[in-house]
Amino acid sequence: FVRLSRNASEKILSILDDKSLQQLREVCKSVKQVVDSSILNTRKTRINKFELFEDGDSGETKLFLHYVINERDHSLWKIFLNTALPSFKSIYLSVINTAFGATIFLLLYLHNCIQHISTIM
Amino acid sequence: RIYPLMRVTLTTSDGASVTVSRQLTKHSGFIEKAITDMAVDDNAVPLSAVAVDVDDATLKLVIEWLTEHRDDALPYPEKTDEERRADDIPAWDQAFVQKWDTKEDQQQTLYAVITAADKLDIKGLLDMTCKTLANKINGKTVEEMREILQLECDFTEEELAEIRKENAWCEN
Repeated sequence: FVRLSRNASEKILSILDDKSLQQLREVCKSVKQVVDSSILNTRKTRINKFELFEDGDSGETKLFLHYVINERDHSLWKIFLNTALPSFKSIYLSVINTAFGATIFLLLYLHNCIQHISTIM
Repeated sequence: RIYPLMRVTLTTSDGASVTVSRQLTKHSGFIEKAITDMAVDDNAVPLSAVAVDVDDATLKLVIEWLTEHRDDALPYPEKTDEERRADDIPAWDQAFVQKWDTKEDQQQTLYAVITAADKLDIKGLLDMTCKTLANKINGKTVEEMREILQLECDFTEEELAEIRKENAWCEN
């Protein structure tokens, strides 16, 4: 399997369901590398909805990203910023998570208010 | 322009020669490009000369598939990831692959045909064989996948625990 061309392995992996892809990551190191590389190369993440608000009671700031992978899977990512922020002047996040299936934000910059997302790379 | 009656001689990596009709080779993007690019007067396309590793036994299977699919429409319809499905393999193709399942080296044969289809740029055959392998893997346990792919686990227990944690994170 790992000797197949990238074109062939990506074709095969594009047919597998997500559960099977996860199982495949546990087979061995070389297969995990092929699967992870294919996911990073082929899956397109589109953010549909973005919400950021402050919970007055807990002082917790919550960031919600509603995203679509390959227009097949819908998930709600909940990332809690456990620091009470004095204001929404600016927030910088570098890498949120590099795990399987994650969207990698190299930089997320919020300026003044939540509607102003200057850069998502 | 394709001349269906034109014959093409293919030379395999292990030195065999097979002569086939252009009606078959028109489905191979690689052979058609080689004929055009190399301006081969005698219609010979020496595969080994352009470093394509297709052996005689594999090429015979490829030709068998091409013969059955000689009238398929060209260009091959490309599908997006959303349109792609694995349960639409034609009955003849299923029987064709099933034949290999009686062989001891079924997996190697499937890999060899996938590789040949990719190198010869035969989109229909590549699609069908990839679906076949995907169908073998889909829905299987990790252990079953290792058996199908004939691979050994080389993770430590800690590494496996980390991957399972990542997988669980994706599901939640």
